[in-house]
Amino acid sequence: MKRAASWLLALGSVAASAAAQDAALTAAPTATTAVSACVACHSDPARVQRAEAREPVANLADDIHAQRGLSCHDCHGGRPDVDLAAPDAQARAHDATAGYVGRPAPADGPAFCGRCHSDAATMARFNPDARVDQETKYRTSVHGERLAKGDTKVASCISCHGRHPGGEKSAALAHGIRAVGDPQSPVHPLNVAATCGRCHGDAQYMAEYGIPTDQREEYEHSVHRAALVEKEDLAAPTCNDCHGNHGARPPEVESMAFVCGTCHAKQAELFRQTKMKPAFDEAELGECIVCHGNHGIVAPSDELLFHAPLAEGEAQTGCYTCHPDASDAALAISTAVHADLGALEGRIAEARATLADADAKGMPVAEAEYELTGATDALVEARALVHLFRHEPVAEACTRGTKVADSALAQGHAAIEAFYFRHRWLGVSLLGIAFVVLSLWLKLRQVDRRWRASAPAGPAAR
Amino acid sequence: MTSSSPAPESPRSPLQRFLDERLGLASLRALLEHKTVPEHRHAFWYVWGGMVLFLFLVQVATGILLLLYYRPGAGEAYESVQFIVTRVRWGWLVRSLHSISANLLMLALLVHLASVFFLRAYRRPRELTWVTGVGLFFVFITFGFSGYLLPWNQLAFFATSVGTEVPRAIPWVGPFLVKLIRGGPDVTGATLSRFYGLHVAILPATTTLLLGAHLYLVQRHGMSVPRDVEEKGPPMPFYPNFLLRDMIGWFVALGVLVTIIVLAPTAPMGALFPFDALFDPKHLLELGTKADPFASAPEGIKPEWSFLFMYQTLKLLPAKLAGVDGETLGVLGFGAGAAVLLLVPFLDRGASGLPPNAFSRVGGAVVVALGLVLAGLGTWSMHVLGHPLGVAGGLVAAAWIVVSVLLDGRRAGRRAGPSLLFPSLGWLAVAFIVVMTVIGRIS
Repeated sequence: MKRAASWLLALGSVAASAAAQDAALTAAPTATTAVSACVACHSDPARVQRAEAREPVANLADDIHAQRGLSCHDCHGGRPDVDLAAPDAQARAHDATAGYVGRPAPADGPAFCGRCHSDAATMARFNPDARVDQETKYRTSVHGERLAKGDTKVASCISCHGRHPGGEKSAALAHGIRAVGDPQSPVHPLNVAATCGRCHGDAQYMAEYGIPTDQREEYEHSVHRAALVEKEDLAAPTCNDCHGNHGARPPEVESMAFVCGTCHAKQAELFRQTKMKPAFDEAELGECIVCHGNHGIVAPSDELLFHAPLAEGEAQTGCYTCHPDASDAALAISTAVHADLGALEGRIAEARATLADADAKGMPVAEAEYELTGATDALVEARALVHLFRHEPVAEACTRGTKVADSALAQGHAAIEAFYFRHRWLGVSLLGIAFVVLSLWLKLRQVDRRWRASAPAGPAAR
Repeated sequence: MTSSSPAPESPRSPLQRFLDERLGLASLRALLEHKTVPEHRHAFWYVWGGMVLFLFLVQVATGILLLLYYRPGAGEAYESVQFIVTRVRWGWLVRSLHSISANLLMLALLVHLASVFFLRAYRRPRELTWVTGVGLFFVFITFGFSGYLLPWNQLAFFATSVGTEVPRAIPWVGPFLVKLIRGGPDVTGATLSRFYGLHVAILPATTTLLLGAHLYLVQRHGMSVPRDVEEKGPPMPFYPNFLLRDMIGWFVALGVLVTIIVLAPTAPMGALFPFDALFDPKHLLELGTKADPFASAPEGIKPEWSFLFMYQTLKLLPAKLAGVDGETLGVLGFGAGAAVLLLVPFLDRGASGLPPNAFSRVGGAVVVALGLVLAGLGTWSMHVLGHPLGVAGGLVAAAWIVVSVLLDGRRAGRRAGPSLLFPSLGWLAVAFIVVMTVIGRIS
């Protein structure tokens, strides 16, 4: 009877409910810390038997929203101040006319979160610098576009920001959302690859989309991941740095150099100056990734420019991938560039080893070591200039670097020579000192004998 | 020593005659020829004064050469020293000689001070010779402290920051003194300028005065012969017999100096024993990195060996002792120790055969108590560090002070013979300094 009455009440007030929901959607959160009826009820197993229904309150402590003073009704509406002892407490609390929204449908998730996160005035209360374009961006993402078309398998807010108590593969739970900077947040830089990989690494889940599912596996072996995880450089790129996060989509072929150039600005700028750029665009080649790869990008090596004769079954790499003909003029450039870079690198290594040897011998070579950093800078510059695909600029930088390395090397040799000179000098000095001491001692014996022979007996007065 | 008026001699050449008429060289020569040195079983210790003088002259000569290139100032000091050791011909040798000979000078000075103390050569009428000598000791300590900062490297910067903080513990005037020494609230370029002025002007001028007075007094009173030592025979002529002994010592010291300088940078630890066990010449010769006030202090930073016992003592003192700040007590204690050292000839009347004064009698009890406390503290600290040798050392020190003071009391009662209180006090101080330095080095 009570249940029927509740339904009748709800049906009867449908118009009022729609208006109230609109009001709730636009109302600013109240940011209260008082224990609401929602929390009291949903934490009480006697009132709420389903564990799933108690989960929101159980994880409230970890939730950034709760930590900022928000409570259930700030998102879900309803009446948080009902008297739980009243027989119609649940109906009053869950009253749609009071703006109550239960679990939003997947398609409504972005709008549900966007009520606050797209509202600059609301967000400014918690973080004056907070972004409010997440929902807008999401609508432009592949995820957002597919969701709009009714594909509810795609990721929305909770998929990435929610909690996955059962591990990577478990379903996302909306409560217990941590701050992005929290190392336990699934969208913390160290966890992003795992979060994206939860879906994108699942071949069965992704089967209907026809896209590869080995991105995460490739990324795990990449130089970017090594920088992020092993060097603990949180600025190193993970999935969202190249694909975007809320507006995630694969970069277009023409914009690849811009994406990589976000960090590798010099290389991207140089590449855009070359005739390779329009040629790549025309051939619909993905610029940087053609030579360097994408998800599994490894540390670039000078070997990309030159490859010794391949072993049986070995794949071509670098320039040879597109220029396999040995008589190709482009290979003459890459071979010359490779030789220049190798020569400079070798000279720097030789200078560094010589200076280390001198340093181990206790010779002061700090100035030369500092000078050698000029050669390393030139090598870095020369490697960047490779992206011009011309020999002259690289040769010029390498020549400059070699001069510096030669100077440091010469200082290292001079220091080592000085070390041995000092030892020879010490030997000669000690011989000279020994000779003088011996001479003085012989003279002393002589004068002592003369003195004792001539001295009167008996001690002198004190 | 005995000396008599010089016998005039005829100059042997026109040049000598010319110089003699104007400079009185004949008198100087006669003075040298008539100066003598006592000959007895402890005469070996007489060479240490000359050794200090020789090493000081090395300091003066190398210091003047360094001045030609050194530029004071936080922006230039480090670079100028780097220039000296890398670009200036033989600059590395001059800088190394200055740095290492400063340490050998301190060692020779300590041996000289200890030998004069234990031979009780400070007794009447040589009290002022002692006072000027101890004054020179304090001046050379200040030379070392001020010179250490001049390369303006990281280690020197932080060591000076710690060292100049110590006077803050002195009641009432501490903060003012710290500001005065640093030229401001912190160690900055102003401190460097101040230390430079101290190192190359104020201290050399003070040294000239004190050294002149010291040498004059040595010349006036001659070398002291211990009261209970018999001379072997007639005194030895200073020139050439004793001077030749001195010169042999100087050349040996020169050999040691150049050996340390050349071998230390690559010698394994222990190869230059005892020098590397004491002051780590390798570390002294390294210039390190330029001072950066915003960098964190180098790990395990410690003061130089000559200040290590003070640092270690202050470190081991509890925060509060009888309600008084432990560091304040420590600093005041060292100040009192320095005052006692300076006034030893006036306090140790027994050394001159005079009846013991109030200090010897009443102060004896205080010294015994202090000795026992220090021995106990040393034992305790070494026990905490888990070094059994330290425990044994502390017990031996305690036993020594008790026995010697009992003997001193008996002798003082008879008013015969020199008091043993001061030698005991000296040995206790030596043991204390050695133990604290060793703890400082190994901890």
